[in-house]
Amino acid sequence: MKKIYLIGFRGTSFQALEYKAELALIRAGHVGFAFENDPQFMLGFHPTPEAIEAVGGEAAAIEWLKENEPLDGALQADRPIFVRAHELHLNGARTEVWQVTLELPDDEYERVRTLALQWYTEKIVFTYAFPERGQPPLPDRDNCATFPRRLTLPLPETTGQLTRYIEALERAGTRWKLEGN
Amino acid sequence: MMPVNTLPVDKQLLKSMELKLSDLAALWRGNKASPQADTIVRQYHAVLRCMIELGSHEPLDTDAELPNRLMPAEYLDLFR
Repeated sequence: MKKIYLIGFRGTSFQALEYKAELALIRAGHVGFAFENDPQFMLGFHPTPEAIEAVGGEAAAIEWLKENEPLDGALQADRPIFVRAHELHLNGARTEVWQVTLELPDDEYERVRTLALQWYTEKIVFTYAFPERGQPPLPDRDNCATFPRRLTLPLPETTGQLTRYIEALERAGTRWKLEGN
Repeated sequence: MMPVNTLPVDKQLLKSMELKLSDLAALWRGNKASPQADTIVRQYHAVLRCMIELGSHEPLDTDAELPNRLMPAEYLDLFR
């Protein structure tokens, strides 16, 4: 068996003025994942820089997503985001980073890892949108929290709503360690 | 300016209300073009105003907010 880590934190929000200089993912909150053989390499799904620019920048993109409009998204290398969230938490922000460990058979682990690295390397675009309720499920849109389902990974919380998802990580997981596991 | 709340804050109740707001925001996104949308916004405002009155001055998660144009002024004013 080999391990995959689902890792996430609550954002500081876009309302709190003291964090307005931080990157959008720090303010919005984020979820990513990493593999046992290289846990320092952390992937996360979020809108591409081009998609954000096309709607007018980070603040405009957040309002766009809150209006239930989609953006192009892709897997990106996000370790600096999680390191920054950890640093901010040590200074009092609510961005404590949590992780849940999944154990997969070796062949399944290799299949998931190969697919994720291919999507990252080839910058494959998927539809990014905030979670919605009350309609038939839309299988072709994800946020950072639900994206691992595309790799057939089980989710600790299925709505993808970060308030619920990070609470589930806290309940079922452990504190993420900067230096690794 | 809102008067300072000197009563004990029920954190468990506030957490439940925060989760409800997250659900309502997701529900609004899934129904924004339907006749239900106005009702969802009214319920969202009622819960959020209640949270503020009960002593919550923390910002919500971004995906638990409605677009700023629909957020109550009492909430946005907390952070100005």
